Amino acid sequence: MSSLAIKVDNLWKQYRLGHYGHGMLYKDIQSFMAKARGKDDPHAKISDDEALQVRENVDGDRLWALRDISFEVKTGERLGIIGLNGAGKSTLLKLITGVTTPTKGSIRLNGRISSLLEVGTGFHPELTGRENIYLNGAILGMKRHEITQRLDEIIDFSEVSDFIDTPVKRYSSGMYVRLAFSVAAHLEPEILILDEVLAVGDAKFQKKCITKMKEISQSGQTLLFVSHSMSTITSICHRAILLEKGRLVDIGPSEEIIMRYFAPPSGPTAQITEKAKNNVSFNFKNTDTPCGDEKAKLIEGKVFSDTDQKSGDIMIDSPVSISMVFEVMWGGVKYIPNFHFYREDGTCVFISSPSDCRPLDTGNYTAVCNIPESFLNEGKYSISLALSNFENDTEVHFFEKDILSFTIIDPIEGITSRHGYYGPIPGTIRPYLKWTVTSN
Amino acid sequence: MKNNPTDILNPEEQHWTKVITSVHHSRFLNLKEIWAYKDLIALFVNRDMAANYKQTILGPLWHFINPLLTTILFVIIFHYVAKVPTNGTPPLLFYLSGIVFWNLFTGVLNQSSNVFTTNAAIFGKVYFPRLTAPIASVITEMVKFCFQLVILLICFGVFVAFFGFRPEVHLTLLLLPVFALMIAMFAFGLGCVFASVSTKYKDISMLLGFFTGLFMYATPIIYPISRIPESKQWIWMLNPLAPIMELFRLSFLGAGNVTMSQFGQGIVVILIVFFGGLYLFHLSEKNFVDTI
Repeated sequence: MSSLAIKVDNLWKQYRLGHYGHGMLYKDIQSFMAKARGKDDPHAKISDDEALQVRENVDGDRLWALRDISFEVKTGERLGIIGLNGAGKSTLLKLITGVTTPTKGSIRLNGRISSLLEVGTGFHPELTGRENIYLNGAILGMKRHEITQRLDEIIDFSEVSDFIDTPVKRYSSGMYVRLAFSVAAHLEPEILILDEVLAVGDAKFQKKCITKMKEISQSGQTLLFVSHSMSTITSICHRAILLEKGRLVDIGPSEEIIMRYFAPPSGPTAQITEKAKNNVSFNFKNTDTPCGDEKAKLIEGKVFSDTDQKSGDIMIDSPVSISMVFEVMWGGVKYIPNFHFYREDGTCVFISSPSDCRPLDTGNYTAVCNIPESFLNEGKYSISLALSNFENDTEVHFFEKDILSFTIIDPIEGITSRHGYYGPIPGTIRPYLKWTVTSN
Repeated sequence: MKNNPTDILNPEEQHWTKVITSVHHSRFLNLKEIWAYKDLIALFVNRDMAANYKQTILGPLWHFINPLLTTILFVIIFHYVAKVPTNGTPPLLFYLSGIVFWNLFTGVLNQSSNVFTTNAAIFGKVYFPRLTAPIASVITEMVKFCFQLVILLICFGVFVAFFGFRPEVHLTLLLLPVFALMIAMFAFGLGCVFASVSTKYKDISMLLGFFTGLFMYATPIIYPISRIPESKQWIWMLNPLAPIMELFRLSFLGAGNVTMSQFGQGIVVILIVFFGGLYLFHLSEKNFVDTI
């Protein structure tokens, strides 16, 4: 069951900026005439060097809304798409649904696709709720008999059954949205695309929608979901992609992508990270670019243990600690330090944060996370350090990906749990657990 | 040991139901796809018919009132004031028959030339075969035409019964559905040309109103073709609506001048405009969302 539902390859989309109009016909004729005579187009871009164009997504009066996007979605997977306004999320969905065509690249789809890019697409204000269910359903690709079959279900779900024969122009915006969502949710396409639709509607209905969407996905439907509500994304989607100025910045488990989305742009991290050896410590005290936002910033971090301080090689039977020093510049907020542990292949081992956090005053703090001996398996681990708070909405003050790392060494000799077995022991962790073997 | 090829799912080997690229998006005149959306066409027609007259007191009666009012206006202006002859037929019937056809033409032309602007919101959000929208509006206009034809028949009956009007009805009257279809196809083709060009050059849509007004005077709607000097009639007959109009009046009211070759020539022009329009529509439908 590893078939793909969507495969996007090197997708580019260009838009023309400004108004279409004045002088266009004239210029178009000039371009056409030049082409007809085999000369260069007088209105072509001066440089066709792709690297040059890519540097900034605005290129003369052209805008690259999407630049070289490639990703795959497996059948039945729920993929979230996040990014700031103008990152290209909606453009991407428009291309996938076929509303407009890409400038370069291709999209392959497997299965009937249906989208809800806007609430009540094609709803006619003068028609009744019932008539609009039919109209909207047909626009989204349903056959009349399919709609008739599900009509009761749709009306029930929308909770507007009392007003179903009233023109929708008399509906409140909440009723309107509920009806529209119900139609889309009962489409039963193989691929469903949703954009920002849960923004309206009360909390109760939103919950109902999320439940419905999980249900949809469990029935084998693939779901693409664009939203600014991170909690919705994490509760619905397995994976997410992060878009930034038309580029695909990252793809991975939704929790991790969301951390990246919220985090301010990385500071001096890039220079420190080297793949080969371990980064056991760093210090941002003297760097010009602070790592963090106006409320808190990261100052230093280190990995330490009894055995070795320098190389970051930790014996499997000794404990290891991770510490981070951060400065709070905005007091009274319940800051939550959280450390993310990853294997080299990108598997998240665990994410940890202190169980009790109090609001912190301004000043410097040190957060230490202790990992007991005989807990992790051998291998290299990288740690991302983050500070967030969840008081209003999710807020991430900094998220430094893979800034520290260490390697757990298994010397084999003298390790008590091996009992003379010298082969590899698989697993991400190898915890020391209490065992009993008794005779019955 | 060889690898079993089925173990590896190669993206090239996987089955894809739809491939979207910059080059090739959809086939020209994908009738199968349009047929799959026939329910949508029906619902569009239903929407346009129903929504038009909601909250009006007279409701669908407006389908009858509108052409009658125009006809009365024409009778007053062109018959009593300008004294344009009507080939011996009662002026009311003469103008009404012209207006019924003209309404079909302008209705289809306006609807299909505005198809991108009126549907921009839906087209920008959902994909369905774009042609369904203009097809639906053609059907809507055809239905309206049928309503108006009923009035024409009623008026015709009234004139025969009470005013002693004795026309020679020709067998060509059986071709009436063909006349209507041809007019609709012509208007549809022209509309598609306007729609496609105006996605890029909006000025064209400004010209449309002027164009239709002008075209009405170039078509024997308010005057019979016999008013045109015989030697210049061929110029008039280049307009494919002229022979149809004349043939219709001939078969219905027993007065009109048209030859079969003129009629045939009209059909050829209509087919060229129809398919040309469709092709232009096809070229512009895939990216108009970005420019409209």
